[in-house]
Amino acid sequence: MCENCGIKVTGAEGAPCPGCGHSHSKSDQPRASIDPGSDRGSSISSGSIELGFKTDLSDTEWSAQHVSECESLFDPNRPQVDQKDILQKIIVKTEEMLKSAPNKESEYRLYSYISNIFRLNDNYMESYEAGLKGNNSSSKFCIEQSQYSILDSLFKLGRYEEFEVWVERASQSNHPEANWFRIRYLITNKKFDDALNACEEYYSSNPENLNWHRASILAEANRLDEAEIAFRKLIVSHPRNGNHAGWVNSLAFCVLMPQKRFHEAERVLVSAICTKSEREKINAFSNLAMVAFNLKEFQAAKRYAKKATVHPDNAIASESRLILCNIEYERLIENESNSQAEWRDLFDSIKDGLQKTDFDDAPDFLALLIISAEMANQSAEIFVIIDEEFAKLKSTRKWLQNDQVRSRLETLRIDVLSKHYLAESMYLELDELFISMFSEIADHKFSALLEYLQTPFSGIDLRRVVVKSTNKEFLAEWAQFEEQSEILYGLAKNQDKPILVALAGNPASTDVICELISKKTDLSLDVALCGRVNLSRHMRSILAKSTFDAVRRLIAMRDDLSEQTYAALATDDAMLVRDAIRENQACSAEIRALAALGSL
Amino acid sequence: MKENETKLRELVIGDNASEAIDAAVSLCTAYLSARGELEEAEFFLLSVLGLQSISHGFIVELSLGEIYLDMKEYPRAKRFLEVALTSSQELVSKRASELLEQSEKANSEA
Repeated sequence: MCENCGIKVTGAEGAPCPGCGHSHSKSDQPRASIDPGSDRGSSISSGSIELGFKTDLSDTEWSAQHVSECESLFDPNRPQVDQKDILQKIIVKTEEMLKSAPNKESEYRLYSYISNIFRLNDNYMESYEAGLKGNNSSSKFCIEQSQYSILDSLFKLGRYEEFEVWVERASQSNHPEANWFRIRYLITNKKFDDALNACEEYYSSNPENLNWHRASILAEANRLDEAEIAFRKLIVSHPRNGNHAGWVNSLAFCVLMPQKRFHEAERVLVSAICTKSEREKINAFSNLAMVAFNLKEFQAAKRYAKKATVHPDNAIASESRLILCNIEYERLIENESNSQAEWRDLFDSIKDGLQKTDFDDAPDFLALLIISAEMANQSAEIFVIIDEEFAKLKSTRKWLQNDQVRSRLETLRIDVLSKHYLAESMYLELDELFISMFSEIADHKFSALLEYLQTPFSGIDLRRVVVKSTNKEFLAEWAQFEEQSEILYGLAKNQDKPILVALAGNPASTDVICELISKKTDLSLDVALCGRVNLSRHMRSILAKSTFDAVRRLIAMRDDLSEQTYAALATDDAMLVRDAIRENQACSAEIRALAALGSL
Repeated sequence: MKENETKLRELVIGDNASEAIDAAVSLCTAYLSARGELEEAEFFLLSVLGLQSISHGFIVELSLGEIYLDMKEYPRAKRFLEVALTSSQELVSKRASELLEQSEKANSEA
């Protein structure tokens, strides 16, 4: 997963992410003259740090030494971003050191360093603040490092106005990655053509880099045919190179798999297993597992997913654990003779998966957990797990950043809780749950809510909130039985036909509402109105003038019309209407004769 | 583990692509498949598949197809054998054709 934008299955070591263009190499920025798209060495090695720290001021050797010590704590064979324990240790150590900084410049340099460490550890607010201080350093390296932290943090925190100011500032001081940040910002704002133009401008001297960025932007813009061409240009050679495997993984994950071209995805993915990059190799296995799962080749999917559960990137490991749970679920659901113990085992695996989940996979784990809880007879435990896991998930930065996932999670939680509250007649809790959460999950059809709205316990406050639902199916079902005229009127404002049909058939709908519906000039709506149990005199006279022959005929067949209406229908232009009057025993002999005359 | 097997394992991860492919195929045919270590055999073959050039004639796909056949994963076997069927090497394409026939028969009986 890209340490910057968080999207999955992206480039090889050193290669940039398709989402944001950031290189997820084992170490970090700034990389002086190296563009983020470059696959050349991009590490901030101890050597480069010393170079950056020692070149100008001898009185800053103190800070350079501290940084070297910290860097030596990292396992050089693993990306620093994956070594959270070390990052944490360095943060504590550096904060302690800052208390005894011998001079201002040393302090600035350490702030610059810690801004980067905070950033890698996902502490963006802290990274931004440290970056501001580090930016006062006299070292070009430290300024660039601080600015990188500031830009990245502001971007992650969604503080775009400040981001724009800083990207301009970085650009003016020729920060090597200012352009990349600009492109990233354009992609986020879905200004894909501008991003492509910027990409051509900035990377024209490096065709490979240019192609990579183009492919990534095009994939993000959902211009998959063009993205595929760009990716395929990249993967023609050097199969053992980590970048090659990264591109193959991106081609499969971003282009082929979303189009359900699984055989083609498999064909390219198997060619990436020979890569020397362990990270990309496991990534390819993870993607192969997804391909095999979609092809319903569960044994193969299981083999590949097992390999990928050890990936240092939790996004990939988590997805693989999810595939394993899904495979087991498919097996159990297809065989009715499974024991509860087997369901219990699956429930435990899913629970374990949810506890270790990557944020993006959390709704899928939770949905599986809810189903398996019923099968394993563990429904009581589900509430405790939901409480615990939501507390954890809410503490992550992604909770506020990823609206789609958060909404799916909340929907699942509310669905489970509302069913429980309803079953236990906990009406106050139900009201509170829906009133507080409805704006977030307004597009979902909650079965428990529909059931609750049919009871006299659900009050007007709740109804006023729920009438703002955007789920048409939910509103149409509700419109069939709602009785409060204020709410019925609110529902009638909806232009969706199934909702209006339901309202037309609802005996509680007032004439005002019925008239509103009849004004739509729609045959099925008029027919629905004709079928009302309690069609008022006023509505009968309106429908008797309907523009649809079939509707006037339905009215003409009624036995509760006024003489005046019968007489009008007896001379109707449409023969089928006059025939209905002629056969209507409720009409007087004169009127029927009049209709017969007309028919003749 | 026999010395020869160890040598083959080393060659698979070596820098010479042709040697790695030959070694992987030999390792799987002579040792791993024979011992029923099909998963490991698959892994070794997958780890050299991307190194093939046209001149290798899809020998790796053929070997993988055979392994999937042994694993009773017929649709998978079919996909890999169909690639091997297009090999310019007659021995490979002929063997692929035989195995495809076997695969289809086994699949229909399954």
